[in-house]
Amino acid sequence: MSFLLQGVNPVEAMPTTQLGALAAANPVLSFCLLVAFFLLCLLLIYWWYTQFSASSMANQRAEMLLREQLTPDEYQHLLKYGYLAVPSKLDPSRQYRIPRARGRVQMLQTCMIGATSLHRKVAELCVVARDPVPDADMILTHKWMLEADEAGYLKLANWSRVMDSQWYTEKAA
Amino acid sequence: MNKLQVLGRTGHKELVWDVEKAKEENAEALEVIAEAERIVNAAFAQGQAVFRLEAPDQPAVRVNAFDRAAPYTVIVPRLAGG
Repeated sequence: MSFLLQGVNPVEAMPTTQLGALAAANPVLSFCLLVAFFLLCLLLIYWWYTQFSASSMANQRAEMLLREQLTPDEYQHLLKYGYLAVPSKLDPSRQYRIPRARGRVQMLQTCMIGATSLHRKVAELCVVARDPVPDADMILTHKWMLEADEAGYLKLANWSRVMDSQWYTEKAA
Repeated sequence: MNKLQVLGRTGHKELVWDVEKAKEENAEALEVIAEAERIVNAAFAQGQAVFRLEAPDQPAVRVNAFDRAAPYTVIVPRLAGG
C-alpha cells in the first residue's frame, strides 16, 4: 500500500529477473522455449497415458487368464477370501495360501479334530518374478509351481518362519 | 485347439494351433508349431519353468520338452527368492 500511496506503479516496482530480461531481449527464442516446454509436457502426458493403459490392459488379460485357469469354485474363493488355497503334495497336513495381491505365500499346518478344522501359520514364503508380471499372472505362477514342483519352489523361496503361532479355527469355505 | 501361453510384463501372449491339422501336414499349423517349439526351447535355455495343463481342475505338470499335443503349454517368468 505504501508504494501506491507514494504514486509508484507496482509493475514497475517489480525487480526484473534475468529470465525476464532474456525474454524481453529475444521474444522469438522465448516463444520457441515456451512451445518446446509445452510439447515436452504433452509428450510426458502421452507417455504416462500409454504406460497406464498398457498396464491396465495387461491386468485385464491376466485376470481373464486367471479366471480361465481356475475352477469357478477356486476363483470365487479367491474373490471372497482374498487367497487361493493349494494343498501340499509333500505333506498332507500342509496348505499354502497365495494372496490375491502380491505378497508372501503363507504356509499353514492344518488338522481336523472331529468336525473342527484347525490351522496354524508355519512360515511365509517369498518368491518373486525376476521380470515383473501382473498380480493375477503371479497367482497362477505360484499355483503351478506348487502343484508341479513343490520341492523346487520351497528351495527357491525365501522363508520367514513363524515361531509359536497359535492354532485357530476357521469357518468352512 | 492347443495353446502356448507365455506370461510376461504386458500380460500373456498366445500361440494357437490345431494338432489335428498338423497331422494332416497343414503348412500353417506346422509353422505355428515350429514357432511354439522355438519359444519353448528358448525358455528352457533361459531357465524358465514350463508347464503342461490339461484342465483347470487338473494339477499342472512341469515339462522338460515341448509337446505339440498338450492342450495348454505355459511359460512362466523366471523366479527368485524375495
